[in-house]
Amino acid sequence: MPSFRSDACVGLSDKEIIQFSLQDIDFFACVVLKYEQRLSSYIQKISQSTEAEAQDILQEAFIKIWKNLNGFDERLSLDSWIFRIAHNETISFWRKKTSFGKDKIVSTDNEKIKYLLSDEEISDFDLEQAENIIEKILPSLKQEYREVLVLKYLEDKSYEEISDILKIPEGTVATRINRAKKAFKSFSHGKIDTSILN
Amino acid sequence: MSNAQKILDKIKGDQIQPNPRWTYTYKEWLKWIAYIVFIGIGSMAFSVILFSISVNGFDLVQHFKHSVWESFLVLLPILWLSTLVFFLGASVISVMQTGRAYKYTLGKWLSLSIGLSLTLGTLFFVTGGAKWLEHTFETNIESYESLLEKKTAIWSQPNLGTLSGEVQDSIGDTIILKDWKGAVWTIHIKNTHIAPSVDLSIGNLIKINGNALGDTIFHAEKIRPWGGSPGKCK
Repeated sequence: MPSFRSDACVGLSDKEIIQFSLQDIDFFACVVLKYEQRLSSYIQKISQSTEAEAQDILQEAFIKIWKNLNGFDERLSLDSWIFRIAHNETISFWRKKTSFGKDKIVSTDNEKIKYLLSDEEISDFDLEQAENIIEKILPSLKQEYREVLVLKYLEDKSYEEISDILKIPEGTVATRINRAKKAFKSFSHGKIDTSILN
Repeated sequence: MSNAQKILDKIKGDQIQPNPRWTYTYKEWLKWIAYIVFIGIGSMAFSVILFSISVNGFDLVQHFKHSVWESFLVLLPILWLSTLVFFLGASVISVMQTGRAYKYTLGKWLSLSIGLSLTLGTLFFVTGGAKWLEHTFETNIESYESLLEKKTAIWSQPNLGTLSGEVQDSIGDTIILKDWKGAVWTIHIKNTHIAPSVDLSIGNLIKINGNALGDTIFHAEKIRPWGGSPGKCK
């Protein structure tokens, strides 16, 4: 079978990608090419899974996206819809495991760590300190807090997008982010709000 | 081989097809229809609760010689109350499954469902729907205890201070009353509070709070009109 030419995806809108995929399955490669790296990174961040595990989850997620292509809600952005399916797939995959994300190190991006820890109370951290906090605390957070932090600060999603991905009200997104950020602050003072930990 | 190619090969190899569009529309409609139906049933239950209050009158509680709570529970239309709570819950669960419901909190959906059920239920009660529904249940379901039966039972407990029936005669400070089972009672009405709307003429229906002085003698403290259809005993 000849490989799909990725240049066929250039210039296509999200809606066109969906429409063309439904007419010709080869266009579904555009969806995979557009999202595989971001989703793989997202899956690893929220589940702290290995590369191989993330690839398995990713493949299942793309198959689910394909199966549900006709169910794409056009009121959502394709981005939010695809992240939602990948998120659900990750959660259901990892629910089968008991040690969800514990004792794992999360790889982070220096600039994004600065952004996450940009509140004035903790802005005087040096980056190494900040990374240390992220590595220690993020994997230990409860799933509900970890996922909003990852989406907000590491995936640059808006509150509305996070609400669409996690299917929770925007107010709840804000509350979770605030609680998780407070936990980071208190951790810097040697204390931690254990109610948000795993 | 690229990841995209592997996924395409898997989809083609396993002949995986996208689910038809109508299944999504159908499911979404089903959830909304279920929501409307559940709200409708909840509203009808609420209307019968209102009807029950109008028939039995919860002011009876203060006259009972039982504990207030026990009396209150006896008067509560438990079946209809349970129906209301069950279908309110079902309606919220149903609507929370719809596409964009997650935009609003559970509290908001619950408030909306309660508001709708109470409003529609009140309308149903006001338009006589509750009475019709109660009657339908009474005539079609053998084991169903109608509100009238409940009312009759509650107002036929002389030892607990309630009595009701049809006035047979009225002589000075005494009236003769036939209860719903046909027993004839002598009622002393000296110093009794008689509601202005009560007519003690022969054939009228009344309900009485007071004390039993013997097997067929009763001292009335308060007399009110029966209100509604004659009492019914099973």
